Amino acid sequence: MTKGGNMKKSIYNLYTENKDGKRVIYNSYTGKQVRFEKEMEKEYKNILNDNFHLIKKEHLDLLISSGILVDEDEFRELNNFYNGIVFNQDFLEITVLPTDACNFRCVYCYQSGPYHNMNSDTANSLLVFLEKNCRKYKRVLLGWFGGEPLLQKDMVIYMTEKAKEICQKNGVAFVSRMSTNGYELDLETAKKLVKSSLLFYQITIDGTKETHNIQRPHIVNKDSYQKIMYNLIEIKNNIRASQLSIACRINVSERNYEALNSFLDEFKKQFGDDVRFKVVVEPVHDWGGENIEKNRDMIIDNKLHEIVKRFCESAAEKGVQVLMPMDFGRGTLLCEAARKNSLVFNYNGDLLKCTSAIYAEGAVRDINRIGHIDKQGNCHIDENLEKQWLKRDEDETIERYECKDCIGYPLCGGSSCVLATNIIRAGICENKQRIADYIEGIVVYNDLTNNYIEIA
Amino acid sequence: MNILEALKECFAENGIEINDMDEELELDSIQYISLIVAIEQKFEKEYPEELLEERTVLTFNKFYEDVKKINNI
Repeated sequence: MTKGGNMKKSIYNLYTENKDGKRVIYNSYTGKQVRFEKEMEKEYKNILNDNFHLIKKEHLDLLISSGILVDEDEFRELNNFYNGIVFNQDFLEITVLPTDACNFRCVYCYQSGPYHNMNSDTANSLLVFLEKNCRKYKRVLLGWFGGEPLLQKDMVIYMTEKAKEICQKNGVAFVSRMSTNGYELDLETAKKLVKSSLLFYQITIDGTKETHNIQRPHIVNKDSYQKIMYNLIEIKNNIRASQLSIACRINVSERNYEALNSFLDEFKKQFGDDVRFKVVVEPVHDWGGENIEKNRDMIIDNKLHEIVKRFCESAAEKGVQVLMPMDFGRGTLLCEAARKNSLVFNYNGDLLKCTSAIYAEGAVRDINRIGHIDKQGNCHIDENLEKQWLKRDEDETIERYECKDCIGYPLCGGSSCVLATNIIRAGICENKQRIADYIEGIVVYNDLTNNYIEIA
Repeated sequence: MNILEALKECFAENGIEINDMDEELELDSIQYISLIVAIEQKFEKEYPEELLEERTVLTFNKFYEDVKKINNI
């Protein structure tokens, strides 16, 4: 980036203060944060007032390298970057639902019965698909979702192992991940899965034992919390794989937000010394289905902003690691459904784009089912349906006015939920405020963990 | 086990070509993680955190030096 005459403030700067009143600028394009000592107030004002010629050279260099000052069209650059992600030909992402059954009855869950399992023919067709196609790509990411995928444990273990073998044989990098409630993730299971490069786990623990067991009841065991924690502690103490990553997600609601501190205390006690364990907070919202209709009172409305900030502040003070969007690079919040080479394989061999729309009805259901896999491992995809999920035409640059100035755009590329903004066509980004809240939490966390550049 | 050959196998399994052992490698996050996992499994040793944090410029030789350290050579 040159220090040319076209220099301007990034449109993705957040201007704020820390709790000591020191000025802070966070840039969501680079993920960098700059903090101004109080005697640098003038320098800060020079930035706000576009008096760049008055800024000291060493500070100017810092501001440019951190992305706070730019001389390019950032939106257009980002658009090109996201086009590259959406239409990337090197990367295949497969999400498999081996079952839609679950051993939990979470009070906000959008999924419901009757339940189905993937049969061995369908599982095999997927492996044949991979065998036939994986060498077209440089890397493959295999995701497991559900229901609770570990209710089909043997199938998951077998298929992950085989998928890795197929990719290794063909010289293709392979990694796998899973969203699981953790109940069936005992040590022996985890060892087998980690050996097959299933390294990324998202496990939801909704607070303390008391709040978790109420929000996420197991179908028979009144204390699923104890079992999950036992499993995680065993994994921590017995699996020595540096790339293992366990994200403990807490779905925060009106019913458990007061337990956040206690949750963090316990997390610190059990996992605080292991960098592979992190926390992430997500508000309970309307994911669809009937359950949330009966439990609307649990959705936090106007105090979510403060709760996220306090969570990040508390985590930083206790030394608990928070999973950050930039941990996985730019585009972390860009939904998989927006990517061309990303497919969901349902238990019955249907090819879908979106896991949240599995239970949708009518036109949304039909648009989500973009194809089917046959027994010979061939995927038959309706390209017209597929196109509706891809927010960009490859040869065009689309300017979405509501995205252009949004601080979340570098994280999501305007595609944090394609179902909401493109398919259901609500015309409103449902995640805008949530992403903005999250960014404010990041700023607090960075400040308290000394993850910033100081201008003094 | 010949460490150099074993390491080259790890790279090959992940589709990473080595033309020059000092050439800077362009790895994305999945390739990087997959490679670290392959190394850990091949040599049955965990990659130390301090070596992972040194990832400024990645070359084959950097990984080779790491693996020798991990194996106390």
